[in-house]
Amino acid sequence: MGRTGLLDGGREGHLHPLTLFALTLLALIQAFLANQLVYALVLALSFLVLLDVSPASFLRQLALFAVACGVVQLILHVDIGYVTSIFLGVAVLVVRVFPVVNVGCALMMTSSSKLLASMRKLHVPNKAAVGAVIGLRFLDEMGDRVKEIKRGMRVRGLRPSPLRPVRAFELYFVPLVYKCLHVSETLVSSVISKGIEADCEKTSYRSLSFGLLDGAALGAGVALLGVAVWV
Amino acid sequence: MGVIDIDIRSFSYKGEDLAALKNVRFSVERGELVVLTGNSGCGKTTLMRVMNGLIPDQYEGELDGRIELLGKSLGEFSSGELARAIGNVFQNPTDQFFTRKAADEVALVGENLGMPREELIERVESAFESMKIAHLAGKDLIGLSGGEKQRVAIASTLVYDTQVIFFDEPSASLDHEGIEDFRRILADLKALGKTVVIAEHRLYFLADLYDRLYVMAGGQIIDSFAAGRLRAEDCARYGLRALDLHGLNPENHRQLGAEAASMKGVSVSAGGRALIGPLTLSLREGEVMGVLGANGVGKSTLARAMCGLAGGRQAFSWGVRLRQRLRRSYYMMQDVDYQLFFDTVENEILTDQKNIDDNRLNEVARIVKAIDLWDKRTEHPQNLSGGQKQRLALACAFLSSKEIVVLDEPTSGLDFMHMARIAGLIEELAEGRPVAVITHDLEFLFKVCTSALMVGRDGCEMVDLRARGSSETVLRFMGCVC
Repeated sequence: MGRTGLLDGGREGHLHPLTLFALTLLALIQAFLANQLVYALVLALSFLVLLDVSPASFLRQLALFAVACGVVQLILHVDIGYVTSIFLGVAVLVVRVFPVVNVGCALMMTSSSKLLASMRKLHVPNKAAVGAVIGLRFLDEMGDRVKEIKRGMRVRGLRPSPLRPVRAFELYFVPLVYKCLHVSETLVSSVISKGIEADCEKTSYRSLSFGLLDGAALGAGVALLGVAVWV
Repeated sequence: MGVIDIDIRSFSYKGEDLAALKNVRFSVERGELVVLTGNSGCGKTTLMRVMNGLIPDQYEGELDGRIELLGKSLGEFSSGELARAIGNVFQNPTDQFFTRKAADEVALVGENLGMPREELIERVESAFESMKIAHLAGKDLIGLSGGEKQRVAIASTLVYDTQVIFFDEPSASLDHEGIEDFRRILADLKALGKTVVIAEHRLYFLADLYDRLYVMAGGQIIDSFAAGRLRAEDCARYGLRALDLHGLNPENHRQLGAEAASMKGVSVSAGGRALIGPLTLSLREGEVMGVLGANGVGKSTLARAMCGLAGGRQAFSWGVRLRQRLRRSYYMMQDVDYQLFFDTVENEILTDQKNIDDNRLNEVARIVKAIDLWDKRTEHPQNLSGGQKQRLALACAFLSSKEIVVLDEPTSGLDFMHMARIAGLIEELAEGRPVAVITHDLEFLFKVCTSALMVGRDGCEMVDLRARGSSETVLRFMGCVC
């Protein structure tokens, strides 16, 4: 048996990144096709996937799901005129895409190294693979950056108002985009200097193999998609 | 023939007429530690980019000259091959990491260059051991201290037994302890026979390590010094940072006014862990209080509590409630990018468009000229350089009319000239109101602060820097004196 790396066996979920990617796509299709029963099963599967990767994120998503369901129920019982159906539509959509968000979160928490190695195995062009992984890395950090921007606004006495959505968007968006551009300049320099452009067969530090759980999760995902299409 | 041979007649970035480098010629021998220093914009970073091949790969431009590494022209290295020969550690370790886990980051270069997995596992382990950070292998990079991140970044250069390592302003994000730690790392790298090139403003920690030091200005090397030959007079002549912190003494001996603010029994905590407190102190008009202490000790958390961004109800004289403190204080963040929101420098300063009269406009014009941004007043703030953004954020604090101003590391990564300019502005800012400044920069502290709050893990101590013997107390606290 070969040597194991310092991270093999560590807790970062048991599913292969490609399985997570496939499950994200399946959940996305089912969000629009599935009936109530299939939706409930897909939702349960997505929560299990998230639990495998991060119990803390699982609990947070569970709480958010409960809140979203509560909002739907509230709108159903409160009549606020002709806009009720708009709010209801948005709230139902949020609840409906929860399985996609859950599996997407699990994918975002997967190591960039593992993702890159998986894409390399699929012969995804190097530039596209690196771009996708860098994009996911930024998504992962977005929450922290938005929190800092919010803090900056409070200090400057700026209050984004929902009545001026363009201005509010601008206040968040401008510093966020500039920050990401600055970070990406250093990051791209760093990965270039680490030989990311080298024209050779790449290897992987992490052990990347499909396991029984991958088979089970994919089997369940495909079966549920089949039921959704059939029904 | 050296490990690196440089002969650059000129280099200009694409679209720019002015040459960023002119007539730069030198060699670096195997095992040498070479320092490049000079004021911001002198060409240090450009020279590093030329040497590590990022110019012209990542940054386009016109290069007239020749750079040889290990006897081979840089142009003859195939794409990515340079990573086997040289390692790079960039200014902000957090931004340069591609992965989430330390071991993944260290392994990345081996994966990219196709190192067999068995060998890669062995090399990664050995790199972690060389840097004495085996315990960090499985850790999330985001939670590591600045010094730990530096070590991980350096470990990644050891996977290929890299001969040459480049560091771009490595001390910018480190506290005093981190810099000492980094000094030891450099000594270890020298002992391993590595060739090291460092672009840096702070020189005191390199004083007994460098083999050759080049001073740059206007894209040229204007002077060079062999090991131990740089003197304090040379630093003064070229406007460089101090070579020895022991000769520093407090310079701001101004008379302070009446008590302007106070806090009684204030405590701060983060994630349920008590950090500082209970802390009782008062600040007077014109007082500039430096806040010192190691990273993670709670300085920024205290600053946020002072400005109503955290800490709940506490006995601050300018507001018990968060909202009151937020209204009456100003906090300049460590990363000022997060508090610049408008489309021009002018609009950034004139946020309160309703209360503009001639007096206000004259005051704004004076400040913009004082921070040397008059010519850039119509530019987008986010397009300014790091130092310019810091000065702009300071101007916003200056014009905010808040009762107390708190600045979080306003001089990190600044050269002597810009640091001195910021110090002058802060002294003016403190006319009639107290200012608290979190800093690791002792040169800056002694230049502008009238008092220092030393935050340790076992408690806090306040020192009046105008009193005799205070510099020794501060230097002892920072670990500069035994």
